[in-house]
This record gives sequence, structure tokens and C-alpha cells, in this order.
Amino acid sequence: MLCVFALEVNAQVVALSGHVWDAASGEVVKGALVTDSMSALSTFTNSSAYYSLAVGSGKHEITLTADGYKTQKMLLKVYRAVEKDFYMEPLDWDGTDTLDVLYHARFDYRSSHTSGRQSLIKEYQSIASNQDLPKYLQNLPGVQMGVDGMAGLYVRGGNADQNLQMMDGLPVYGLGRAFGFLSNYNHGLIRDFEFYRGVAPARYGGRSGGVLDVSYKEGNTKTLKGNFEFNPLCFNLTLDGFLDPSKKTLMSMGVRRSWLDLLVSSSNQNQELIANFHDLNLKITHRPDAKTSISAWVYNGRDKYGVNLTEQYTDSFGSATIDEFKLGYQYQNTLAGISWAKMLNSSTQAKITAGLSRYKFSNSLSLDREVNDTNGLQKARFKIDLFNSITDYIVKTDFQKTIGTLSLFRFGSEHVMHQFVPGVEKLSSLNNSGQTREEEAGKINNQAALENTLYTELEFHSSTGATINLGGRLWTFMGKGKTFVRLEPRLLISQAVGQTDGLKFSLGSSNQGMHQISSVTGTLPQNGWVGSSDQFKPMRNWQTTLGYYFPVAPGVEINTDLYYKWFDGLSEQNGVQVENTRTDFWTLVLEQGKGTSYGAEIMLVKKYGRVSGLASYGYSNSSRVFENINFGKRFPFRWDRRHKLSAQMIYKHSKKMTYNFSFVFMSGNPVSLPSSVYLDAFGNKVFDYAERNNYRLPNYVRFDAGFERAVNPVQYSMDAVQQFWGVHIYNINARANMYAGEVLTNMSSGQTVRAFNGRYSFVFLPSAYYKLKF
Amino acid sequence: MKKRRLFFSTIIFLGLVTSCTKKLPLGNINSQIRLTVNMLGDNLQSPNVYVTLSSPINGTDSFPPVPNAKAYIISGTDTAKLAYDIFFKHYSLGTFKLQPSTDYDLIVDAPGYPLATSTLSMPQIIDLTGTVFKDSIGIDNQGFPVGGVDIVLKDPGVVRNFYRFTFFTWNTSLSEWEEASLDFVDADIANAAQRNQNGNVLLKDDLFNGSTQIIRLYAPFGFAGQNPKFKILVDNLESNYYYYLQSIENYEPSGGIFQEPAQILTNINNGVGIFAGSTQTEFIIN
Repeated sequence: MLCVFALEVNAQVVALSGHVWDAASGEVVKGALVTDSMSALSTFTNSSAYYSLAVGSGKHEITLTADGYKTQKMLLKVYRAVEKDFYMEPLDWDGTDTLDVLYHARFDYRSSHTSGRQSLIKEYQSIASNQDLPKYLQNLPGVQMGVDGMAGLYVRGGNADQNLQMMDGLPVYGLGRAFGFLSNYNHGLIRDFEFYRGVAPARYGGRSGGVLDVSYKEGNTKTLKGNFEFNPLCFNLTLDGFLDPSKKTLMSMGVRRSWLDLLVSSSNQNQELIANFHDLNLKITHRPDAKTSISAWVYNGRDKYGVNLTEQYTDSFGSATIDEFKLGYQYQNTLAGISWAKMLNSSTQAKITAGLSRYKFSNSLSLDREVNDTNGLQKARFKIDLFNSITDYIVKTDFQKTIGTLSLFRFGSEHVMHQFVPGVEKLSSLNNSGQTREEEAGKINNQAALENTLYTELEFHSSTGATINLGGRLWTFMGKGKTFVRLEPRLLISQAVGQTDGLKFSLGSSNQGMHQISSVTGTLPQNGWVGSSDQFKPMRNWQTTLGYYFPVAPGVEINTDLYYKWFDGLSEQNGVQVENTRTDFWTLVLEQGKGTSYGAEIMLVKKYGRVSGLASYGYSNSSRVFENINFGKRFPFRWDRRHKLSAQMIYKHSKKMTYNFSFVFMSGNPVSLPSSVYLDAFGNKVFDYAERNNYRLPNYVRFDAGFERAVNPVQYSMDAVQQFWGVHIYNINARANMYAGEVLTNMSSGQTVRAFNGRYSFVFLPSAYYKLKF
Repeated sequence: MKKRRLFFSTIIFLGLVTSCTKKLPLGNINSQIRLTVNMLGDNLQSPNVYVTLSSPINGTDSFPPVPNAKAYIISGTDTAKLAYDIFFKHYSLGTFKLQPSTDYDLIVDAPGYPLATSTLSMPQIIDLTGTVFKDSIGIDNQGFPVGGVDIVLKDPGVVRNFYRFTFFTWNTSLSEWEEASLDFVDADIANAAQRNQNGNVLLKDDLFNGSTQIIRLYAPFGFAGQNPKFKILVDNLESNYYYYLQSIENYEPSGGIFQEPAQILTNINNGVGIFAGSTQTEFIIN
């Protein structure tokens, strides 16, 4: 095969390059497949919608396909380097694409990979009538949701904190708003996304799990567009358009906020319950010319919960006292970034991104007392603040260059300064004599780490239908007391079979230098992060996949995958509880160990059309082994659900009515429950758990259904504003789908009676929403 | 007011839907009765090995002793066969004591149950020579002078050592030792020490591994002209012993929603329980 490459590289080569744009909105189209149908060579547009395809001089039939767009075919005569931009028309309301030529299964070298645009998820309703990208991805095989209703993604045996979740190229931490009912991603602003369950190309790294790369809209170049939605959890306003008459400066913005607390007046000043969240996105893009793009964006999301109580009383001596008690719980994400992308010449593009990502959790309790008596007004105060945070300062460079007709070269670097604050406790008090006391504990655990990565990818295309993406990352993590240097090879191969099918293989490794001190059940807002050090080694995984992808009808594709995954440096709670201000406390509460995960997946996907959706089945087996947990014996991962059957369907009955259905069946997840009771050395009754995760909860079965009705669909009306409303029922089958178990002990007639209780969340949860589009 | 009611009702509703519970079948668990073997021994007294049965999770919480087992403690070629004491319901041998710096194997052979085994490495004796009482070492937080005891602890190197400290004062009127509160003067030592619910004061040798450490305790002040009498008891615990006490301290019978249950350490193969030992050193300051 290398001989074939060598021969073809010597042919006379000219570069066909440019950008691919959305004809309706002027947005860039990432992930569009540009194919030279005659030579069977192809390439994808990158995050700046830039493509570069080296072709032999002569006539070429270029085919463009992209999710959500009508396929285009055109004949081009290419005799010298040509810069050619393409404009793609979005699909009609019913998703008809008469030219769909089934290219993706054959040409896409990425296995276990899902990509799409906003249109793919906008009709997928989830809990409380929200459209949320992670909830859509939870339908994929090999992906577990964790606790019912939350936005956790447990990919092929990995924890939620092992995923690289990005928003416009910067990592974002935590599950998002309302404890994860809503992810950090505002679906109204999503332009496109990529999600890797398997091996990702070398340009992605820093985490040892899945990769979710989400890009937000830059702004509509035709007109100002907006959406307003109102659902039980929040309202959501998104806008995108241009800021100057030349349409070179674009903007997109979004605001989400819970509304329930706004209904409450503050008439009762003695008690106040605080429960609200908001998030705000703003992105401004300037395109001075067709080859250059400069973007700046910010994101801030914050949840706040708490209670304020005030009590006033006067005692029999006439002393008037006012007590004010405040308990607060707050967490927030902050992202700020800037990027510059430029097409340097017909075969080279460069992109530089810089920014910061911060996640901070804080919890505070305060008591203020004012006493007015014969001694005058006296004040005293007691306050405890607990907080943890992670802050990343990031600089990334990405370059892409076409070499010959058959190769594409990508290289770049990523430099991240992590600042970890695993847990700090501040205590302050002021007594009525004016004496103050300030104490701070846990600061000793604050640490910084520097993560530097160089990556390179070489992508070969062969006229025999083979595509090889061979790359690697040189990963270094300079943590407290130790520097780790590791090489991460990545190999993704696709071989076309016949005219439409694709056989795919991948092998790769990735490392993760930070660890979340998370609960076994799921990620909680208060779970802090720590870096790898001489006390705690990084996580690493190796994964290999083998897949066969083939279309069965226009727009309908079946993907099959087998995978095997090894983990090292995993962390797991050992049950020890210590204060999180103690030096290196995580080394006491967490153990490090290994794990494996393997499985088989089959998925039928129909992304567009009047009937669209996906149906999948996945078998998976994920287990872990830790020297000091479960007596060194292997045990199943907490979210090891062996069988998962999932189906999700959108049916566009007419321009006015769209129905959505989803069904999920999963094996129950294992939990630890005691098998017997025994006497300890002091004669106390204690539980014998025998093995960790020894009890499998009942199967999870959920059926959701909903519809959306357009009041004035655009085809019927010239109204500037379109209205929609919809209804959704989560868990229509009203099954108690459990995610945790516990043992209860009661006394009845002098006898000890024990019972196992399962915890579940949502049973038959109807909701409705209203939406405006303008 | 209606709005407030709506708001609170909604919050309560949300709380309810996130905390629903339903009974799970107990029968789904592999509930097995296992041999329970417990022995926490030292070098001064004959070890007592308790052999009982565990009770199934849905059983009646009866933990019958197993009188017809054969229990052996083996060290090299020496085997001590323990006899069942029908009064105390444990296995022991009056003439047998665990020796410092010696390895032991435990075998419990009970009819109908797999052979339960475990191992134990007795730590070495600690030298406390030089430990002294000082009548006045300064003043306490309240401004009163305090006395102190300087424990001279020669920590053996190479191995990790785990200590349990107990402090006694002599009650002259009752003519007996009384356990006194134990407080370390040095802040680093005080921070590193673990105090558990049973009153044990435990300390790992992280801060002074392999060196001679003077550990100062607060002691009563004001014995001018009198003759104070103190006793320091230092147990050098085997690591399993230390972690067993810690696991009892951290024991959480049920993990609940977000956390794993914290189990008690067990080192009995084919059973549950603990087989661990300590060497005791007693130093009397007269």
C-alpha cells in the first residue's frame, strides 16, 4: 500500500482548497465531506470549515455531503491551485435529500464516532421538555447515563470525569446546571458537535475517556435570528446575527435562567429560599476576509441554592435580638477564549486558541447576631466558607497542510496550566467585644500543574479506498513532585469495501493528569479536582476497535463495533472519610487501580427524513481491580450495564406536527449491599459486604413520548415570528428505575428486620413547553 | 402567598421525586453464612480466638459460636493447638503467648466450612528507656503551669510502625492506676494522631520513622515535695491491627446514594474477621 502512495504522490498535483458555508445562514459547515468522485479521494472540513484536497490536474467531479445539508455534485476543471468556497443548502423540513450517495460509511475513517448539527438534536426531547446534547448522546450504545435524568456520560467503562468535553475548543467541567438536569451546552447555540466513544485522532487528548467537541454558532450573516423557549426548568433566549453592515463581524448569544424563583415575591423577609441558576454565552467573530477568522467568546453558568432565615425576639429583660442565619451552596463555570484562524495558502491553515476554563464550588454558612440592650448595640458573627476549584489556562495551536494528493498533515501543541484547589475551609468570627478570629485550612493542598502536549497526524488517502490516520501525542504532565512523560500513539484505519461499505480499525492510548474526587454514584457539584503527583499517578487507557459500517438504504446506515479497553490509574473511593482540608487527603480516600471494558455494539442511524432516529444494542462488560478494595478481587464497574437497547425516533407527520419517541432498556447497574451480618472483634454487629457491587438492581426500562406543534409554520405564513408548543412525557411506563441501593434495619416485635431499598427518581413526568422562533 | 405556596410545593415535589424508594428483593443476593474469626492479641496475654458464624442478611441475627472447630496458631515448626473454653466461648491455650518479631499462621478448621486461614507478623518491642516526668514545662492556654512527660521512643527503621498510646496516673488513695487524658504538646504530633471512639490514641511513625523521637505529653502539675507516679503504655500495632481499628472508626453500615459503604477490614481467608497482634511496652515513672 505504501508503494501505491509513493507512486501517486509523484503525480502532478494541484490543491483545491477553501471553505464550506451554510447557504442559508452563512455559518461555517464543519465536518462536510468533500470527495473527488473520480479518484475516490476525500477530506473533511475542519472546525473553521476549511478543506484542502490535492488532486491531479484535469476534470473532477466533486461531491459534497454534510449532515443536515443537501448533497451537491459539480464538475470542476482544475489545472492549477484553486481556492473554491462551497455553499450548502440545508435540508427541507422533511429532510429529503435526493442526491444522498451514502459516502460517509465508505470514507469516514473515524469509528465509534457521532457527529451532527443542531438540527439533529433540536427535536429530541428529554426530561422536562429540554433538548440537551448529552441526553441525546446517552442513547448511543456504549454510553451510560449514570443517575436517571442527569447529563453524565459514562463512555465504555469510563467515569464522567474522564471525558474531554469542550465548548469551542476549551474544556468545560461539571455536569452543568441544576445538578446536571441541563448540561453546560445551550442547545439553541450549538452549531455542530463531534462525539468519540472510541479512539479519537491525535488532535484530541488530555482525558482518558470519550471526547465531546461542541462548536457554537458564530452568527447569521443574512439576518438576525433568534429563539425563545420556555419550559418547566428555565427560559432560554438565543440570538445570532451580524453586528456591522459589511457583515464581517458576527455575534451569537444565549441566556438561560430558571424562572420558578422569580414568581416568588419577597414579602416575607424572615425566610428566603434561594434556588436558581443561569448561564450566559456570548461569542463575537470577525472575518476581515474570506481566509481569516477571529473569535472571542465567554460563558458563565452559575447555580445558587440556599436559605436565609431571620429571627427577631425580645427577652424579659428588654434585650432585643436579631439572628440571621444563611446557608448557601453555589457552583459556577466560567470560560473565556479567543481564537485566530487563517488560511495561510492554498494548502495550509493555522489556528491559535487561548483561553481559560474555571469551575468553582462554594458552600457557606453564617450566623449574625445583633443584640440591643442596656449596653447598646452589640454584634457578633460566625462564618464558615468551604470551596474548591479548578482553573485551566490554555494555549493551543493547530496547523493543517496538504501534502501531495494522498496525504494531509496536521500538527500542533497544547499547553495547559492547571490550578487545583481541592478544598479550602475558611472560618471567621467576630464577637461582641470586637475580637476577630480568622482561620484557613486546606490551602496546603493547592497545587499547580503544567500539561504540555505536541501532536501530529498524518492522514493518507489511497485510490484503493483506504484511509489511514496515523498520529501521536507526546504528553507531559508536570505535577507536584513528579513529571510524567508519555507517548500516545493513535491509529485509525478505514478500508472501503465495495462502493458503499467501510471496514474500520483503530488503536490508541490517552492519558489524564487530573482526577476528580467523585462519588461512586456520579459527579456531584462539590467534587473537587486534584493533579497527578508523586503520590498519585495519571490515568491512562488503551483502546482498540474494529467496526464495519454499511448503508442499508439512502440515508440509513448500520454501524457495528467491537472494542476492548484497558485502564490504569483509575481512582475509586475506598470508604475512608477524612476532612478535605488534611494534607493530600485524596490519597487516603481514593485508591488507584486498573480496569477493563469490552463490548459489541450495533447501531442503525437515520439522521434525516420524515422519520429519523437511531436504534442500537450494546453489550458491554466493565470491571475494575484495586489492590485495597474488595480484597484485591475484580468487581464490576458501578455503571456496568451489560445490555442496553435503545431506540429514538422523530416522526414529522406534517409541517405542523412532529412526534418524538424514545425507548431505553438497560440491565440494572450493580451496587454494594451486605450479604450477611457478623460480630467484629469487639462484639458489635457489622455487615459483611462480601464483594463490592455484588447486587444488580432491576432492569431499567423507560419509554418517553412527546410532540411539537407549530402554530404558524413558516411555509404557511409570512409572520416574522413562528410559534411552537409541545408536550413531553418522561417515563410514560411509570417504572421505578433504580440507580442506588441501601440496606435498612428496623426493629419489629423485638426482632431485627432488614430490607434493601432501591432509589429512583422520575416516574411519569409530564411537561410542556412554548417556543418562539424569529 | 399563593405564589409562595406554589414555589415551596414545587421544591418539595422535586425533592420527593428525587428521593423515591422501593423495596428490593433480598433473595437476589448471594447470602452465605461465613465463618467469623476474631483475635486481637498481644505479647503479654494468651491470645483468645473467637470463632462464630455470620448470620444471613435476612436471618435472625444469631451468631452461634463454633465449639467443634480445630484452631491452630503456627510459628515455624511450633504449633499451638487451642482448646475451646465453654465458659468464655473462645479458643485459647493458657501456656501460649505471642512473641515479638515473630510470624504466625492461623488455621481454623470447622466442620462444614472451608478452612479459614490468616497470618500475623508480630511487631518488635519498643524501647522507652529515658522517658521522664517534668514538673513544669510551661503554661497552658488558661495561663496555668503544666507538667509533662517526655516519652523517648526509639522507632525501629525499615518497617512502618503504628503506635497506640495509653497514659495512666497512680491514684494513691485507691492504690490503683487510673487512665488519664492524653494530649500531645507538639502540634505536628497532635495533628497526626488519630483518636477513635474507643478512646484509642493512634499514631503512625510518618514523622519520625527510624529515629529516636521525644514525644511530650501534658501531665499534671504541682507535685512539689511529693512523688508522682505515671505509667506509659505503648502498643506497637501490626499494620492490620491499626487499619482494623481505623476501619471500625470509619465504618458506615450503608453507603446510601452517593457513597460506597465503608467496610471493616477483614484478613481471614474463607471467612471474615481479624487476626492481628501488638507488642506492649510499659514504662513506669516513679
